[in-house]
Amino acid sequence: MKCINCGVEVDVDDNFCYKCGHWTANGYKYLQDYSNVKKIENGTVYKHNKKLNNLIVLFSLGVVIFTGMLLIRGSDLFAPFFYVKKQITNLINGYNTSIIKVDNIYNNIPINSYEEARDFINKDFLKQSILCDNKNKLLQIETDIENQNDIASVTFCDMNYDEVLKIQEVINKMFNLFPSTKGALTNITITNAASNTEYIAYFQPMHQFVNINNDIKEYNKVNKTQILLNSYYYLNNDLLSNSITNVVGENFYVKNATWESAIAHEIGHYITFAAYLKEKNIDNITYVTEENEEKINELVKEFDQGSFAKNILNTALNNYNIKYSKNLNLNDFAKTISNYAATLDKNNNLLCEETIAEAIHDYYLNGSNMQNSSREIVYTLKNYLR
Amino acid sequence: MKKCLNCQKEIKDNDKYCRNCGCLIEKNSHYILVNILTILVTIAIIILIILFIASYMLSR
Ligand SMILES: [Zn+2]
Ligand SMILES: [Zn+2]
Repeated sequence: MKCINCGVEVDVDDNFCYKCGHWTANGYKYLQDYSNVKKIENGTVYKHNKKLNNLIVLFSLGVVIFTGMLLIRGSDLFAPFFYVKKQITNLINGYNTSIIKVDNIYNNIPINSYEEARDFINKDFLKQSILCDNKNKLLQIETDIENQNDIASVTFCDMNYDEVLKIQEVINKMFNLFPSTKGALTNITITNAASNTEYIAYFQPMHQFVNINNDIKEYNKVNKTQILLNSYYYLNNDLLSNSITNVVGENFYVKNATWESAIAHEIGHYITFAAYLKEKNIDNITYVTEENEEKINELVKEFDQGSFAKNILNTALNNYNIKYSKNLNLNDFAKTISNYAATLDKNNNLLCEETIAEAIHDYYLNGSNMQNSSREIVYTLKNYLR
Repeated sequence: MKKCLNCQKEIKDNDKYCRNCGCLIEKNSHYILVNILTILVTIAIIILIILFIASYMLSR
């Protein structure tokens, strides 16, 4: 007997064709009896096929639910995932670390104006804000600081809200004291330092950010001028609740120093840099083109060598010695401010930029009660900022 | 000797369909796979719902 569907030879007592599954003449009779149909339908395979159908429905349902949630919550939907990841990392380390990446580098990006450069810097962290806890509250303060002080991007991701308010006060006050320095600072960012105690905060005049591997003839470049805050301190409230003097030692910073005023010290470095740029007739080093690339690289190199800071200090010392009938040398002059102000480099030369930053720190904290030495330094510096 | 999963009748080696009940004969791994996928998809949906609720709790 042949299968009526595919034509292969089937046995007379087979109900179905073994090759195509079609019923045979025998099978037709078999299916007429409803109890046989019932028997087949109660079999395991039939039940299994129902399972397969359920799986398909379940999967489609999952896709619909996912799409719906994504439409409602946007990328916020994944925030819990990052939250858990962060908690695990913090648990492993034993202290809180920052989740955002500050060392992203981009290439082959067309940047055609200073505004575009600043915008690109801002978006790098805006994209990452989903990683941060209570980002909506912080985002408002960060934007306020950016707008008020002309900074491209401020990121405190995961920092305690009250701590951020204190830092906001420091930044705003610093730029009120030195309003003409606004515009060249691109970033204030929380980050994980290479080691926990490497620094509390850190000023970096130039960090190459966009198109650093490209030829300047093809792509303009973007530099960051940034202040980094070490997450080891600023994200760990148990450390912050300790006085900074207990951690760094008595007289290390100027009188009345706090964790937040340490940022005023770093802004002091920035203000020195801004004064230097003013003297060199350049507004900022953010947007690098074929015309200014060489000049910018030269300028930063020269600034790092420290002669600008040394000149300011020498002028200030001169004025100080005359005014107060003293005969101090540079090191003793620096020591009148703080131990940090008198830091020496590996060749035992005074790190003049630290002296200036501490003088500005003193000015920020103690105002008219600052040391006379700080006053002379700030006065000299302000002459550059007219 | 292989048996049809559906009706328990004997199956010959190269048969694609059961000669008694007409069911397509699948490998065992096929059934295992469907079971595992069902469990995975269910878990994924549960995680999704937790994620959704948690995302509201985080943004408060
Ligand atoms: Zn057939
Ligand atoms: Zn069967």
